[in-house]
Amino acid sequence: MLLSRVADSLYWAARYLERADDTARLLWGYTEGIVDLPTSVTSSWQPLLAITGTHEPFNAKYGSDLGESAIVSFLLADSENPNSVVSCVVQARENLRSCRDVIPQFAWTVLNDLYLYALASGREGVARPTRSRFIERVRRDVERIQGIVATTMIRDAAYNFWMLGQLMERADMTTRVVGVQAAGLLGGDPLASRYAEVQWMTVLRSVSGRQMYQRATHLPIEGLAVVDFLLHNRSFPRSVQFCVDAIAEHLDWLPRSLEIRPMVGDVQSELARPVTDVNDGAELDASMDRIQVSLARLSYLILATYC
Amino acid sequence: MAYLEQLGSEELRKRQDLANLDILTMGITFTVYSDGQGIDRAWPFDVIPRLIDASEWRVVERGLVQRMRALNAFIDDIYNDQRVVADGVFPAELLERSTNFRPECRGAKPKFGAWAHICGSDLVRGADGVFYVLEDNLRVPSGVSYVLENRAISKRAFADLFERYSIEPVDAYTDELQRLLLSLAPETCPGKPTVVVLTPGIFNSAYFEHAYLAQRMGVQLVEGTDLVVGEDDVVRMRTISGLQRVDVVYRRIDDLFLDPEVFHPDSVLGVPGLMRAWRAGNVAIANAPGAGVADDKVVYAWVPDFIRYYLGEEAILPNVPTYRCLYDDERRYVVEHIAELVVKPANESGGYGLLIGDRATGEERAAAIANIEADPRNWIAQPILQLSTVPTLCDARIEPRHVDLRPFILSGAHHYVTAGGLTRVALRKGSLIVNSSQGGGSKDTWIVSGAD
Repeated sequence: MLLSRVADSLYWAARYLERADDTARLLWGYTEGIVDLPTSVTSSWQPLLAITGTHEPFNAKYGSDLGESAIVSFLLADSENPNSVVSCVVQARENLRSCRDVIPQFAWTVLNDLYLYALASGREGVARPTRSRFIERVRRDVERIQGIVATTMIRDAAYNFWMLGQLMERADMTTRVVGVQAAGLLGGDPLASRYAEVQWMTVLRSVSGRQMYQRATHLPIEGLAVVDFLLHNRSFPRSVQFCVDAIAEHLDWLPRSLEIRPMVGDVQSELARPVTDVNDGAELDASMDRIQVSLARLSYLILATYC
Repeated sequence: MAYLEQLGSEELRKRQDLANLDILTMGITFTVYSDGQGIDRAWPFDVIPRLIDASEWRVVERGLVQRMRALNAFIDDIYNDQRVVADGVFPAELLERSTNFRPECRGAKPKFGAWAHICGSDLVRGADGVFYVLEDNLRVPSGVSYVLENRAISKRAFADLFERYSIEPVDAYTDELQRLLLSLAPETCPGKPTVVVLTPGIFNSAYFEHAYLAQRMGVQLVEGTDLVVGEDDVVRMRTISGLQRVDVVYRRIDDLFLDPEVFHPDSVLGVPGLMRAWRAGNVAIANAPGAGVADDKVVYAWVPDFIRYYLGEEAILPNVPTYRCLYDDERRYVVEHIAELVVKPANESGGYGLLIGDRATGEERAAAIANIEADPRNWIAQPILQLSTVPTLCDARIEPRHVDLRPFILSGAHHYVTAGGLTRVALRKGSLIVNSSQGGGSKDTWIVSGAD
């Protein structure tokens, strides 16, 4: 038996933790990608605001300052940004506090430790020279927590809700990362399109998918293949298809999940629509939007049904 | 004890360090409130156990059970026939002014006549070697999880001693508690009753204990919003499989926050309709609402009379002599002798508002007297007891420190008393205040045969 409130807290704890991790990966992928671009190309950090959907709160605080330091600081350490890495860690911990009896004790200890570190050292992640240290620490601790859950938690409804939160966030974030490339194509420097390969590599790096892309596809890095890999590959754990398949499996274990099946079907069919032209930014952006909306509706239905 | 001394302070220090490490890694905490902020602190623990002889403890146990029988008889009487008032044993005036009397509970008849199912009574040993009862906590007494955790820690620190001596175990408590809670289920309950622990939430200072007990009993730890009472006066909890019936609520929320339909209307901690369900006999609540009427430092002064009145016996465990500021002569005595007395508010817990006469400044005494004159019923005073001390590890030396003891008593069809209880120790030299929120610590308590 699982209390609705506890199911809700587990779902959100896992979601926020995944969001912290994904945002950290994204910032790192972007930092590396920008370094690769020649200085003659005007690089912009602005697409990162689009990816995380934080344009409005950012503008309210920083106005027209679109420099690296303002944007990275906002996404990494700003407590006024509810989606910053530090805010996500804080919210993951808040949610997990009231279900400590459900989660493996050691996972809580690691999260608590990460929380103390993130609060104290968030600033450290902003400066380029120390950024990797902060980001690696966040990634390492989130991976530890997920590893502890994977290796020591019993497979019951609590576990299913934890995984649902994690998978839902990961699927959503992958569509957003693909979307950021679209945003780049839309408003980018005309010179930047010459370095499209560097940009697609950045996209892959942002979801830690570069090595696996090449193992899975045996192709050079090119837009259409990258988008297909990130959306449809059934064996890459961060692809949208992989996450949605896993969501369907976890739902199967829960009571009354037949009511949710049709909505999973909606996501699947949205995902199955082929992407033909990755160079048409508006088209790509609209496709990702449709997938995100269907994921959000599924998430809403799951919470409305159980919590 | 001789063996402990023989270990030497260096070895004890080592064992203390190990125990501290256990406390940190096991995450045993309590919450302190300061400037409106709750801070989790590690549980302060002294590794040297407190020893009590088993034959002496048997007498204390009998005294505690006797006390609970009388207190439950009093509560049941007060909410029903009020014979104790009619017979002139307990002044009607006190009842009218009692802040813990709940008119909403009149006419209720809980199973076994038991209202205060879980009680933590505070005992002190005076200079004469006698155990006195200082107070009975009948509302939502806490501390029992620390009894169990202290034992777990000291078992590791003194594995050698546990092998050699017969130390009475305390682990049975959660099983006994679960058995008691199951036995309280309404007669109409089909099959195995569903028990829940109701907590005010993570910001409560005793949340650690609520979670601990729920986990040990394998029952759900719920908050008010997890429960819902239907038109049919049945309590159910919201789960992912839908609403599930609840038969017994072990509540760790004060009466006044329990049900906004009846008590504080703006309370978000409680469950609207819970009192309806209880009165309809569809759910058992432990401790029963209203049980706190006997948890009152004024009512306390009458307990020996209750034992005589309801049981026809003399109290096995004595009270500490208590002056009731309600009465003019006793109040006059308190005002004149305030320097020799401990003054306490009748309805506060945790040592807040407490004044120890011989340590207070003139200003503090004057303020206390003003408080007493403003609301005499709310104050009592007791002589400053020469509390016994026990050996305690202070830095690298063993020094005497003052202690009290809170055993826990379960009351239903039968009674159960913990073997020992929570020994709280005033870690500051000479201090009498043992509350963990004010610099107190705790010790494991060993009931042993032939302890010296």
